[in-house]
This record gives sequence, structure tokens and C-alpha cells, in this order.
Amino acid sequence: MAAALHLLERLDRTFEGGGEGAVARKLLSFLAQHPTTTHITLQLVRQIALERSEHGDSAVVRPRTQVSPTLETDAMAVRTLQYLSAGADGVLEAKFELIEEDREDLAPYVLTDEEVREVMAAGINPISGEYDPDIKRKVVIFFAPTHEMADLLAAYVAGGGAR
Amino acid sequence: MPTPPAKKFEKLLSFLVDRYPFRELRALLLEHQVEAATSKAKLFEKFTELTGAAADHANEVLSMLCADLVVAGTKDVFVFDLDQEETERIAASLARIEPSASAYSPAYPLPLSESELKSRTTDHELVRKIVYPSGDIALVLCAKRSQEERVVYEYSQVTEAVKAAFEDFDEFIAVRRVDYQIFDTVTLRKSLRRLEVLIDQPSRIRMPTTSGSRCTVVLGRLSTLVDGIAPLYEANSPLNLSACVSALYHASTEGRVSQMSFRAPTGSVNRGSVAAQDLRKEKFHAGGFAAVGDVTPYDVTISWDNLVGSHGEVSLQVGMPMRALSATGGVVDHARIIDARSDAAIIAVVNKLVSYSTG
Repeated sequence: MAAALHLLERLDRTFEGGGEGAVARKLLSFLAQHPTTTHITLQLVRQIALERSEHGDSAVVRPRTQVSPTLETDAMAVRTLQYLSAGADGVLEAKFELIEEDREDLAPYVLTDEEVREVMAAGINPISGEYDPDIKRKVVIFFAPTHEMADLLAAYVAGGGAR
Repeated sequence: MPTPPAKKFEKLLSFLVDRYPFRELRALLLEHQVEAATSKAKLFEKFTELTGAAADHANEVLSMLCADLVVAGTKDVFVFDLDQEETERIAASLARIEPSASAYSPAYPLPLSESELKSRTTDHELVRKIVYPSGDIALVLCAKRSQEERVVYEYSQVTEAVKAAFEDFDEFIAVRRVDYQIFDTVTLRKSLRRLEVLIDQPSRIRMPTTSGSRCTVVLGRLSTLVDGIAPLYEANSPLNLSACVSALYHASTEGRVSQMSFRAPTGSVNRGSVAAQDLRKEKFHAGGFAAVGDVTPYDVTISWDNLVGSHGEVSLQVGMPMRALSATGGVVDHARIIDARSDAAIIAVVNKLVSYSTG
């Protein structure tokens, strides 16, 4: 619990009370309520960030400007995910998967670290073993809770953190 | 009014049958007190038997439905936000413009026959200007497009001459090029300060052409006719609708979700569809949603029964590639409006898109 709270406090300080801290709290709260979550995309974080509170008041996290709300929310979500997955005490880990949308029979394929290196360096498709000039376009990032996170979340919820 | 010839009924009905689901067309005809039938063949038969006042009424209704379909129906929509100055400039230019005689005009709102279409080009021609009571102005541009139809024949199905010429072949693929007429529409919503480009018959578009490239072609053509369009053509940046995908699904009061593709936070990729009810409330989907907390849709089709100001069911499909769920700054430049009965339905649906485009 101390580590999670420490992480959030640091996040608040880093972003000077910006929306990132609120996004992180909402995400951690979501993960505490749904511990089966293993696949966190930018879109999921954006949805959680923009979700209205249970009390029906206005959205807790809103972009700072209305110039480009989508981009602003995206950027906020990215910064939050980067922070939560950075360093040894990160609560999320970054993973990569291969999505071949022109092959509807193929489900997204989660890449190992070695496969990611091979894809990026040599452009080799790990499923077919062949060179694919478009392969980098098909690799996308997602985040998953670290092994240690379940314990942290349990303590965080017990401490009243999941609001 | 002389009794319309059976040939005209056939043309009107063919146009409607091609563009409306039969069930929907039947309901529409009944709504307008026109006797319908339970099959397409019977419908054609019934209309050829009409005489006198009944035939006149049927002709009037069919003509009206066809005219509505030209500006509505199923179309891909691109929305361009305008400022006050741009709106006034385009409106002033549109007020002055009058379509000159076009080869497409005599048959309008019906398409030219296949033989007449053969001599036309793929260049858009301005065929009609429509001024609505609200002050909105629409321009209808027609052009020819072609589609390939493929028929596969087994070796045993072809003539002896073909067999002799292609002895070692197992099957034969015959390709027939079919011409069809498109009715692309550009509408200025003056009071809403936006321009809508509606691309006709989007499901017939094949790569390398896309709805987006057709929209650019339409704007390019109009930029030579209408003052104020050239900057839109050059910027080519329609309203980004990416936020609509998730926002419309999560807005539980918005219509019925009839189809969707989504990812669950547990990693799975899913597709769901349901007829005549809301997938959001369907037991299996709702149970799954409750178990995982939320889902991230990347393609959603929503249907509304009666939107404000319009009549009848209309659907909207908006989507993006699955990988866009993980990307920043994803752009969705168009949505598909399905089976809109009239311009009123188009306005209502585009209003939804605009209001949900900010998330």
C-alpha cells in the first residue's frame, strides 16, 4: 500500500496536480474492482478517465483545453501509463502484440521480448517466419498489471483508495 | 395525369429495391397507403396492374421516395466544421449557382439506363440543387462508376470450344463490368456551420478507391464551382469521429447497438450482433460487460427508431482498425449512415456524430 500511495504522490508532484494523478487513481480503482484485467489499452484508460463518477457529477477528469479534447485526453493517458509502468516499482508492465487486421482468422498475438526485438530489427513476422515490410505497423503496445500489483491493489482498496 | 407506364414503375421500383431492404420498403409503401406485396416479384406484378387514381398515387409516392433516397439512403458521411465567414462565403456562392443541363438531368432522380451510362464518364456532374425550408442547400453530383462481377464456371459447364482451347484448366472465371450511377451529395448546413459530403453506395467502393478519395474528388470538382470550397479541399481534414465509437456505445440512451466489435480488458477480441434489440442490454453481453468492468469498442453500429425531426429507422456505423485502440491521435474521417429515409434523418444522425466527436 505504501508503495502504491508513494507512486501516486510522486505522480501528483511530477504533474503538479494535473489530470494524470486522477487518471491513475481511477485506473487503479478499476483494476482493484476488476482484478481479471490483463489487457489495458490507451482507449480503455481514456474511457476510464472520462467516466462520470458514481454520484452523477461531472466527469472527474476532463482535458485542460477544448482545442483537441481527444488528443489532450490521449496525451494524459499516455503520460499516466508511462509513469505507472516506469522503473522498478512500476505497477504496470508494457507488452506488445501483433495485430493482423487483414487476417480475421488470426487473433492478436502477444509477442515475447525477443520477438519484439526481432520484429523491430529485422522485420520478421514471428508467426510466418517471413519478412514483412509492414510488420512494424502491426505491432501495438498494451499494458498489463505486474505480478506484484495484485497485493498492492488489495492493500490500496483496503486503505480506502478505490473511490 | 396520364397513367404512368409500367416501364416507369419498374424503373422506380428497381431503384428503391436496390437501395432499401425489402422489409423496410414494404413498410414505407404501406405507410403511404400504397398496396405492398410479400415478395419482390409480387410487388413488381402488383404495380404493373395499377390503373387510374391508384396508379397516380403510387407514382407520386414512388417518385417522392426515390427523390428522398438520392440525398439519403446509405451513404458515407464526411463532416467539415466551418467558421462564420466560411459558411457565409459558401452560402452566397451556392445561392448563385444553378446546375446547367446534364445528361443525368432528364432521368433524375432515377439513374440512367445501363446503355445510357456506357457513354458517360467518371467525372462528377452537378445535376440538382435542393434548397430546404431551413435554408440548408444541397448539391447532387452524379457520375458513372463500374463494378466487376465474377462468375465461376466448372470445366464441365463450358462449351466444347473452350474446353479444347483450355484443356488443362479446372474452372473458368468470367468477369463482367457493370456500370452504375452514383449520387454524391454535398450539403451546407448554414445554421449549424458545417458542410456534409455524402458518398453514395459506399459498399460498392473497392480498393484502391476509398470513400475518402471519393470525398476528395467531390470537393475538388466543387472547388471549381463554389467559392469557399477550395480551402476545404486543400486542407482535407474532416471532423475526427474516433471518439464517437466508444462514446456512442457507452451512451446507453442512444438507440440500439445492433453490431459491434470490441476488446475486453481480459484480452479477447469479440464481435456481437443482435436484431431488433440493444446488444448493450442483451443478457450475454451485459453479463460479460459486468464481469470485466468495461469493454473497448472499435466498430459500432447503432440504430434509432425515430430520431427527432425524422421518421423511420436509421442506423449509423462508425469504426476504426483494432490497433487504433492502442494508438494516440487516431483519426476516423467518416461514418456510414444506413437506410436514412430523408435529409431530416441525415441531419439528426450527423448531429449525433458531431456532439459525440469530442468524447
